[in-house]
Amino acid sequence: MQEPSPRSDNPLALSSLLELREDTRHVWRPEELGAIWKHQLTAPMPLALGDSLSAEVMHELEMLELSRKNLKNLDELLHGAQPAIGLLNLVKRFAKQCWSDRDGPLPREIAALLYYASIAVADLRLGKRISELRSDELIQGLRWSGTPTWVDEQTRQLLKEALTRMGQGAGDESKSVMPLAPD
Amino acid sequence: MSGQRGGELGPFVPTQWSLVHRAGQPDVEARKVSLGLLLQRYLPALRAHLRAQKKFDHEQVEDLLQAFVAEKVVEQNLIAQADRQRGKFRSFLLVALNRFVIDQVRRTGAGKRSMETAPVGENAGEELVSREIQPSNQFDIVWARELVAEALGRMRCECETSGQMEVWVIFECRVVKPAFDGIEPMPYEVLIERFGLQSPIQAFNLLTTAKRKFARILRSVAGEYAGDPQLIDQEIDDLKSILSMAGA
Repeated sequence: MQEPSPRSDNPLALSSLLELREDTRHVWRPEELGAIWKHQLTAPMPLALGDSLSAEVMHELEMLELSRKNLKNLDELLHGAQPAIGLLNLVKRFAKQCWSDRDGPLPREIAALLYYASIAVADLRLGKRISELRSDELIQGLRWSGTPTWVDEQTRQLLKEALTRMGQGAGDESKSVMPLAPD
Repeated sequence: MSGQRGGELGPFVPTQWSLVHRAGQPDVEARKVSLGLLLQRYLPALRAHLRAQKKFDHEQVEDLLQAFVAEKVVEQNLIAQADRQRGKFRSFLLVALNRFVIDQVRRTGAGKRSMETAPVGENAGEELVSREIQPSNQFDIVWARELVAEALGRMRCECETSGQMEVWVIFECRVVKPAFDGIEPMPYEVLIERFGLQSPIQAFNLLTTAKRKFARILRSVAGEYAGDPQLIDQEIDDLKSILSMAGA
């Protein structure tokens, strides 16, 4: 292994190391966000939702097992035919925490997409509104969520259907900006 | 490697001023070791200063530094005159070197081969003094680079000895190499496969551990250079301001 020596004389490179703080979110390149999203969808459910909600997640999973339903990961929850409302609520809470917290363990874009996807699934598949956002805020968020190029086609379709159900077309997505984390 | 210096010293890493103190003591052995460590830390910056600021060539720089170490540092026990109450050790050393160089140029005059391109004659001292007035960017930048290199070296050693090499490797591949070598960070997909990570949260936790470790070690190294824990933030601010001015 090479020696850890800063060979570059570029002061900005040195400076970037000095700016490192433990609470600074790591910067992922746009093309990596697709890989992170895919990884998040396929990670085992308890690992995907972190420690802070682990007891509630385990409880929900046990309840599902009792009713002979089995949701292994977020992909099955968000894209399957029988989502569980309890888990969708937990996913929304987890995503909101990650999105608004400086130390959140997910990139903001991933957290925001997860947040709106959970709301869209609850609305589309179960006819339940699990968000207190105003309709215009929700529409803006759903529109933005389908915009990034790294979002997979299945999720993009889900968001589009949710918008259609709310009586909204695709709109001008090119002007769509990422909303602020909800209060 | 700089980090191995810390490793060889074991758990006790002397602070900058305790090194300075010991390097100024009569105990020959302790003095020799401490002097060696001090010079190891500062020679690269002094070398860069003479080359970039004073415009000496490679041979002249080596001659001057050897003479400075032999005559001022060892014979006249320069380090014993350093006083932490009167400012930073690196400023003390730089001023001493500048004065030594001016004296040396005046003393050797035109006849000495190693001073051919340096200013000579009656006004040589004044000319060097006028160069001295300019801020020594190269000295500061090289000093900053040495400090960061020391922190990186120690981090790698610490990861090795604590069986956390994955923390070092992920930091190196995602942060250090992209910053210093301009290469692309290790892609996320490669990273999760290499470390067997089951979720993005695990990837985040590894990176956070690495950043936290580096921040802690950097503060510790800065503290040694500052000589006083209360001056760590000031030392890191100094580093930032040196680098941002140089990069502007």
